[in-house]
Amino acid sequence: MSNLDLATSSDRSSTDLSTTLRDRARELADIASQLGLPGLGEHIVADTTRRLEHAQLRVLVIGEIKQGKSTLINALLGEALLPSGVTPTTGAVVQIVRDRQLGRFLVNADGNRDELAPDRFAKLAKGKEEFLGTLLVTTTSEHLPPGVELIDTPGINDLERFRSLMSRGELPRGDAIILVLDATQVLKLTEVAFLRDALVALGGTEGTGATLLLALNRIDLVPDAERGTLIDHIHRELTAVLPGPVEVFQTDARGASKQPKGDSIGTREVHRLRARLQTLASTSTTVLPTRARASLQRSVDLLLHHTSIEARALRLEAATLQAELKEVRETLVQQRLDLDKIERTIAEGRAQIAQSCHEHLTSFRGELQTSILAQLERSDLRSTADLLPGAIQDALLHFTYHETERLRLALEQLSRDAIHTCGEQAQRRLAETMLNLGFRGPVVHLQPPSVGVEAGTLAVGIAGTAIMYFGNIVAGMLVTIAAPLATMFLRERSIRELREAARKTVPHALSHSFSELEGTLLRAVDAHVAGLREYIVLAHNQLGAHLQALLERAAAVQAQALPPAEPGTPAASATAVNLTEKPASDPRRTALTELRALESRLEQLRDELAKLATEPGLAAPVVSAA
Amino acid sequence: MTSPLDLGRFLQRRQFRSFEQDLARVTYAYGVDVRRFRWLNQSMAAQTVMRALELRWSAVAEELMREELQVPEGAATLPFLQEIVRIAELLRVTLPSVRLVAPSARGRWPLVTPLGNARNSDDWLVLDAHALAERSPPQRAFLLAQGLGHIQCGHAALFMAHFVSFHEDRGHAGLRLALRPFSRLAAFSADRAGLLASGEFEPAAQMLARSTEQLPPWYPSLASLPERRRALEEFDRSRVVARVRSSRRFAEEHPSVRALVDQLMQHSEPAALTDGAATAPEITSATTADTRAAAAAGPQAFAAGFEVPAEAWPLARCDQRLTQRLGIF
Repeated sequence: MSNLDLATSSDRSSTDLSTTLRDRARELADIASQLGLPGLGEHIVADTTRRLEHAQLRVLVIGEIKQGKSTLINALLGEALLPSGVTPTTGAVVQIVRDRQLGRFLVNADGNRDELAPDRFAKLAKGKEEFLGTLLVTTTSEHLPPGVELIDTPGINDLERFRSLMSRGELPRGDAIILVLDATQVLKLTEVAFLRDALVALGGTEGTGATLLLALNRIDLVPDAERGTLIDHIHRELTAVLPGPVEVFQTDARGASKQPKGDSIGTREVHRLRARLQTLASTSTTVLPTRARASLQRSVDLLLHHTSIEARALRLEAATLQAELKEVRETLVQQRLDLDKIERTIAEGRAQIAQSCHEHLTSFRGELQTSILAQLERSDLRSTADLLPGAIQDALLHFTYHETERLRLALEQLSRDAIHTCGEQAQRRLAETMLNLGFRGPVVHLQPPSVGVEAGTLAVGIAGTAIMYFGNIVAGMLVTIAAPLATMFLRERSIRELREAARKTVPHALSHSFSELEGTLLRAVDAHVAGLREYIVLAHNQLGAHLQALLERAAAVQAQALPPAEPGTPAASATAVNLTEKPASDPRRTALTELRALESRLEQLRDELAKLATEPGLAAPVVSAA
Repeated sequence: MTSPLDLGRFLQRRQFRSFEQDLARVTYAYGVDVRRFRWLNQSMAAQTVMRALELRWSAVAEELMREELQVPEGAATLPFLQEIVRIAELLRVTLPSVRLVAPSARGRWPLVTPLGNARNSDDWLVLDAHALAERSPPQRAFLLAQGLGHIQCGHAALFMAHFVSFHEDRGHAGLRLALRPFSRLAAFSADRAGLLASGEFEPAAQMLARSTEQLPPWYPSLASLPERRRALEEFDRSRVVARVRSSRRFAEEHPSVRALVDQLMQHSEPAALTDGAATAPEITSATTADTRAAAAAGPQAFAAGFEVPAEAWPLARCDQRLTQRLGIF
């Protein structure tokens, strides 16, 4: 095959992949619309289009307030485009792209650009005036590659929560993140927590095309001798959060802005970061399809969470549904979302659930052990060796079933505490756990009695018969009669041995199996908590709006069901006629059936998207932070 | 508030279940293999040998769990477990414990292996989940039902005896020879159970052939493939299978009310676990993402509402006429 053929084949594959991804994005948008979330669908299509048609790589510059994000962007571009200063400055998300001339714009929801004067732009960028739309800055700086758009964001710990929301809400839409840290106080707890959220939102850095860069700003304030220790500390702290190595840039944004041609390490590192952006831009055509795919996968996950919420909502009583809807409206929509509070609620709830689960298991273990030891005294040989392990397993499963039911209620309450409603996830996870536990078999194994009883009885019987035939009949008969006596003696000895062995093995076996059981249940709890956090991270500032739309849709379906009427009234007879034509619960059942179909389709889409990366020729190369 | 634990009640239920199972085996007069294996598992003479092997089995099982097998865990195993539950319900057999072949031991085990003690108190169905996943649903149903059939007929101890004697290198050849009359008879009932669950002859025949290939050296010498195939063909032409097929077609063309409701609701509340009973009720209620994904991935082995008549399974067992016709004894 010639080089030309290879290139043509590669282009065709790339086009096929783009077409497939765009089709899937449209399908997801359609599903989002069917769930009553057209805005989410539009976002999905817009992001996919940006990545695949406009080939725009979105680099988010994120960090806590006053870490020098805007200053770093100015240093990277080599011009003071963004307002920066001593007081917190950035109060809005600002998009910076390369163009033929410098300009500052307010992009409206319909896509029209209104040019802004520098003063007015600074006012909006500092968040001193509320506005609808996004801020856009065009620059002619050659340091910004044409295929890259830089996004400046407000501080993630900004006291005004809406700023923080805007900044974190951008996460799922990013392709690369520059996390700006202050070199004098690196990796605070809030920064590590944020990094976790960022990785959830991006879908991780392995195989998703996402890039994570750490800018250790104000490095000039750290003595040379301590820098190595600092870098080691960062790598060590991030091991639990990031699977692979992370790229760290020791920047001095202010110094680089003042002396762009300086030779300090901070300035050199700004240049290196600039070069890294150039490299990213050069690989964007291969990275962006992978990013588009990963982003679509996260959208599928979000939509699956939504379907689970709606499925439960459809099964709720009308009054309960209305109460949840009211609570979501009042707490998550009308009041501002307090994500930190939600995260705290989840963490506290998880700790309480784990504690109560541990207490229940410990208490039941003691009870079970006492019962087993008591039962050992009462049971005969067969019951003890053959049936007792199975009975212990049944008792344990019986308890586990009730414990999982209790956990389900606790997890659903945790979800309600966090997002004021809940989905079917807890029920599904715990059913999965029970299914696996049901096939594990007995947890306590009691050694069967030795062959002494059977062998002894058999030997004595054979010996007696032989003596009867070949020797003295009376002696033979005596020996034969002795067989049952020997059996009795041997059986007594066997059961004594068995009981003794059981008393020794049962406490250890129970300890082992209960610690495994606790681990299994806690894994289900942690999976639920992780799922809840993932849902919050992915839906983010749209969480309240999405939940409201889902519950409203379920309420509308319920409202379609005919209301009950007093018997004997004309309305009742009319209702009866209608009922024969269309049962009252039909709309809910139809909606549930449709929802299940959507869920199945979403799962298929998830599989299809996952396979896209593995197909040779279609797969986009994996680019990670490493 | 839960009631205080009454272990005696669970023990009684186990006794009752064990009694029911024994009774069912005895009353199935046609079950030649059931009668033979009852002797092997319960007679004093045979128990002496089997107990000696079983005492070794505990240690061997522990070693296996460390090196070659693992308990089912995580969402990936759920489709198989649900399939086992469906087949067990279909054939009215009890649920065994499940062990999965660890990745490091793949290829050293058959696709499905029944193992257990002579008292049926701890039966294992060892699955090579990775290889099973590559089979079509009817093929998989045949293999799983075959394994469950072995356990239901009390054959698990036969496999255990062969495995332990080979593993411990103690008189394997002699034991193989001594148990040959039992081994030769053990396959037919299980093959028939497989065909009942699979519903189609071709996949069953393919898997029958597959189940005689690449067997580990410890595996009991079951009847030869032509004999087993002939017996299966004969059973395939029987009225029992005709009834099962007819029931299956009917279920496909006329879904039951329950199936319709399930289809509409696609959800059922978990039924309360009956005290001391196996976990079938709540297991069947588990609707998982993976199961739905598996369902979407390929056709089901049997349509919802399809069932095997209650007496089909006992009638399907290896009977005296079959053993005479095939000249097994």
